[in-house]
Formats: sequence, C-alpha cells, structure tokens
Amino acid sequence: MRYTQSASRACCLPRRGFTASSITQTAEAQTKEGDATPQPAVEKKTPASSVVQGTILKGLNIYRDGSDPVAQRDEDYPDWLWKLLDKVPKEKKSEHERQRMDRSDSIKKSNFMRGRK
Amino acid sequence: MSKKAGVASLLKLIVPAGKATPSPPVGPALGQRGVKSMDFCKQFNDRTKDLVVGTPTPVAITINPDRTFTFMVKTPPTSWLLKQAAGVAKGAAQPGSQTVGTVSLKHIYAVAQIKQKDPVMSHIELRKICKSVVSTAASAGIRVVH
Repeated sequence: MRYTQSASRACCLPRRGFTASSITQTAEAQTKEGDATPQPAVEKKTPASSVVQGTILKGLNIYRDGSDPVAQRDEDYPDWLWKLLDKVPKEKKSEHERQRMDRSDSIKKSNFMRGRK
Repeated sequence: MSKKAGVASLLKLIVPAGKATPSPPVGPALGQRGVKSMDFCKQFNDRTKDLVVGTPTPVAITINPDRTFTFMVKTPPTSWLLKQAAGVAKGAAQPGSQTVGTVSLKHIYAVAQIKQKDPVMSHIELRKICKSVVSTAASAGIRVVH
C-alpha cells in the first residue's frame, strides 16, 4: 500500500490498473451502489421547444435559389440537441488527487524559479 | 510575406459573395503579392454565384511563387449567421453582461447544418459543430433558448 502512496511521480507514468487507481475504484463502486436508483425505462420527456414546427427560420438562407429553412417537429431533431444547454457538472477531485496536483505544481514553480537565474 | 523563392503564401479575406471588386479590401491585398485582382474577382464571383449577393464569404487564397493562385471558399462566418437568425445587426458590446438577441436550439441546428458544408468542417460530427455554434452565440451576446 505504501509503495503506491509514495508514488507522487506516478502521475507522470502511464496508468496501471492494479495500484492506487484500483483503491479509488473500489471506493467509487461502493458509493455508486449506495446511490443507485432504478433507471427509468422511458426517456425523460424534454420540454417542448419554443419554436413550433412550421416556423420559418428567417435569415438563414444563403443560397440564391433557396429559401429559409423551416422548423421541423421536435421529434425529428436528434436527442442530443436538447441537451446542448445543460450545464456539465464539474468533476470533483479527490483529496489525494488534489494533493498530487498541488505538489507537482509547487515542484514546477520552484524549478522555474531556480531556472530563471 | 516571404520573398523566398518556392514558398507559397496564404491570404485570408472575407469578401461579399458576387461582389468582389479590384478595390479594397481585395485589390491592395492581392496586388501586393503580385496577383491580378481582376482574375481573382472573376473566378470568385463565378464560384459564389449560388450564394445570395453580398453574403460575407471567407476565402483562403494560396499564392504560389509564380504568381498563380488557388482559393478555397468557405461558409459565411458563424457569428454573422447567428446575427441574421436573431435579427440583429451588431453583436453585443459586452457579451457577458449584454444580450442583444435570442435564438432557439432549432436555429442552432440550422446554422450547424450550413457550417457542415464548409470543407474545413465536413468531417466533424454535427453535434460538435452545434456545441461550437452555441459558444459563438455566447461570445456574440446572443442567448440560446430551448
């Protein structure tokens, strides 16, 4: 265990699946099991778009022989479109990872200061 | 640009479709590099004859050392398309705090479909183009609603 913990330089090495990461993985698996809620069988319905089908999307025609595109039904658009505005939650870093980052940042900083002269 | 023999130079301009004329901005930029601007204008207007006249069209001109040139015509700037869709003439002066217009996700999709035809973007997933268009809207002060 101590062998893996002392590897602050391990962050530079390619990830191996059997040491520190496996420890965090089991921790994550445990929390996941605790939080597990049954996934809904049907996809959550997205609220209706503000642009009704048939609305002419003015100003978006660039071709001489073309005409402005027309809005289609909500169902005809791909699902990912409605998720574009969702805020992506920032991944929280574990204490261990944060310490690693702080340590490597301070090393880099001191190297820079020393190399400056 | 470089005066060394054997180096092609790249020139990027935004020219109104069908309206390329030898005078600025096209004339001096090309003339400096030894290209006859009239030649370029004729070819450019010919290639953009399908577009609505006056649409700002970015073009990348590669000028060879022997003064011949090739050019690639791209789709109109995303910010311009968004301003057209939102019905505004100018973007916000302070994009973070000001909102000058709104577009919906369906507009974003339509803009992305236009951008997908760009030779530069043709291999990129439509979803990623949409994400990029949403970011451009934010930087122009245009709010995207559902």
